[in-house]
Amino acid sequence: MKVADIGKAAVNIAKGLGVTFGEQLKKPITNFYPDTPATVKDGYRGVPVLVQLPTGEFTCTACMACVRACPIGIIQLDTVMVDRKRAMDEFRLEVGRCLQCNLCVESCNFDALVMAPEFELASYTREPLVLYKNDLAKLYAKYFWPKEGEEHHFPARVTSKHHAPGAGTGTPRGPRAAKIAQTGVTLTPGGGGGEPAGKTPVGASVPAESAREATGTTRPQDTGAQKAGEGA
Amino acid sequence: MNWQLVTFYILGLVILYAAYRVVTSAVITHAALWLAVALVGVAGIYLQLQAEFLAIIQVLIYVGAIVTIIIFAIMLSPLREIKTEEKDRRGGATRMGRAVASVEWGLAPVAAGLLFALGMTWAYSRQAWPVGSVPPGLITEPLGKSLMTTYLLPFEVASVLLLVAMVGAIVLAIRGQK
Amino acid sequence: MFGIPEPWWSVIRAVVWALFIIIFLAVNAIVAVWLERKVSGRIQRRIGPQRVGRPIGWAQTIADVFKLLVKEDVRAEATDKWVFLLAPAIPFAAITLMFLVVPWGKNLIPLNLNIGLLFVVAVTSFEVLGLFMAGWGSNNKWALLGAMRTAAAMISYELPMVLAILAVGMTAGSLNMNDVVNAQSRVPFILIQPVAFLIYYIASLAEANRTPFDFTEAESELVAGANIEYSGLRWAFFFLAEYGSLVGTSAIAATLFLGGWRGPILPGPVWFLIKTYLLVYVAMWIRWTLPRVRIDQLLDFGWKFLLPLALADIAVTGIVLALL
Repeated sequence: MKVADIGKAAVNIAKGLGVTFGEQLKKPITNFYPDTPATVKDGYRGVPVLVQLPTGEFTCTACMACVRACPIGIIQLDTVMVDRKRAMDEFRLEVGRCLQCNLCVESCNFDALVMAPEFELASYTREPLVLYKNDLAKLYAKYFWPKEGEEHHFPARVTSKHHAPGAGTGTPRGPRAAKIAQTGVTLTPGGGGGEPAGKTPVGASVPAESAREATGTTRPQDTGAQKAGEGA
Repeated sequence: MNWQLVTFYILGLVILYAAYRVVTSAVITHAALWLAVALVGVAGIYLQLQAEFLAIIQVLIYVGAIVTIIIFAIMLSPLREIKTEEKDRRGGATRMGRAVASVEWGLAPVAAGLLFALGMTWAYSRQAWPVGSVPPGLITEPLGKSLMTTYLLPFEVASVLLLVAMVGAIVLAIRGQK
Repeated sequence: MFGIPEPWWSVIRAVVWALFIIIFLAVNAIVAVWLERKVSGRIQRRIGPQRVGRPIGWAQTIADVFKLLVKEDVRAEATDKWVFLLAPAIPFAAITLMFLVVPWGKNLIPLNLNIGLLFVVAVTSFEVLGLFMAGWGSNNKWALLGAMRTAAAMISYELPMVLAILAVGMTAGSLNMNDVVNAQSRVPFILIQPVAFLIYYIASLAEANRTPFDFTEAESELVAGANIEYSGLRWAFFFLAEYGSLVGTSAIAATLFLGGWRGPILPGPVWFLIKTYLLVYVAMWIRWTLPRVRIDQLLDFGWKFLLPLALADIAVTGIVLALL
């Protein structure tokens, strides 16, 4: 132990004490959460919710991609045949076990699943943590339905490359999604390469079904693409 | 009723019992703690003799330093070798009785203690240490002065002795490291 | 006085002082814990407790006390019964005794001992005994490790602490607490003996087991140290002693170096409390600034730096006093 070291230590301790004293004079950054509503950052993964249009239609096509993509198998999807087409009858998500891994959202070819920033799901029993399609739709409505006088925007699909411009419009990413692609689920290359797929104006009044009929199995736009379209 | 006498006897009993437990405890930690009790009791006797300085030094040196060092040595020893809990769970009174009756725990310490007490009484009755009255006022000043003048040589000899012990401990520790 | 004969009067006086000190220590623990939470909160830009006893959370520690009072007093089968049961009383008793010689104001001192400074040093040495008993009696390796570290730290830091106190005694020319305070009527000793103050304060942090020297309960390494096996009221006594020793060492430092109860306008006890809690605050400020040092660093620092420094301080003080 040298005297110079002790001098250095003393200076550093004084510096540290100065820093902590200064912190005491600053305003606390405490969030009074239960008293005042809490905010979450953009891109927060809360609960994957089903996109439901204001008309009451689900954009889900019951392709089962999300069911296969879920690493813990907490998604169940019952199908029903409507007009010789497979359609979603009931959707069951056990959100209590959800990892918020976002794989279901990324695997969805129709952007029928998006992550809602919901985080206040705590309950005393397990039953309220099993969400059905109506619960999920309610959550969707809570976060993504337009307020009075606003147009309906489909929420951006939050992917790992969400922040990149034009991203989020591409094909499903990740090895699992690729595997799904190989196993025969129809993938539309429409949005590939960041190119906006089609110019369908997406508003609250346009039912997704008609859009789908018009362009075959095109996906509804996501916000990123829409913004690009608006800019153009 | 002489309160001073009563407190003296109480302190004396505490000291004697604690001292007895120091030599008879099977668990060495208990012996160390009983030693602390005995030493504090002696400090109490000093207080009764209005030797506050001596009492406080007694506590400071013996309880604060010596017992702590003993305890430290115990804690640094391998646990298995020192922890021999007395497993005798039968009634306290009979255990006590058997202990007192035995030579090892009863007769020998009591005889040694009695011998020491008799020797001290004899020496005291021969006026070996004449007792004067307590000087009024500060005791630290005359004590310090006499340590630095009259008793300078013993004081220095004691210091050197402690220094030698310290150097010896350091030498042993360094040798142990290599 | 008041028609009460003298021996009884001194008995009443002693009882009143004893009750006062114990109640003061209990209230102090409540206030100091609250202060600690608030200070730590502010340093981390939080606000600390505010829900129980809005808006400043004044009732939080009181609620904690009630929680402790109703908790079960658990004793494990393998503990050393009497050592375990008696251990919590000893640190608390040591702190209580320490306050016996602290002057609160002019003629406001529980016991005007001629050698008050030495008395303080002597009774603080009991504390380590209690922690050792807790550590040993618990029959738990973490507890024993905590006790061992505490014993090592206390032995190492008692020496510089005593020497720093001795330097004050030399400057004041007396070991009586009242005389020390009176000697500071013009200049507080922190200006005459700054080195001694620093040594005393660092050593007292170690003595009170405060971060950066909190080896008794190094939560992240020893879980909780010597008091790990304790619960309920017995644990509360350790807690009382911990904050008692914080305020005790601060009170001694305030008396020895900051002029004790002396101060303009306000009455003595108020000044005494202000100075004491200022030092308590500084200890908390240090705690939430510095990380815990390693035990070998602590011992190195104590023996190889503080002790020589304290000895040098004593020597310089002696030479200066002899020349004056």
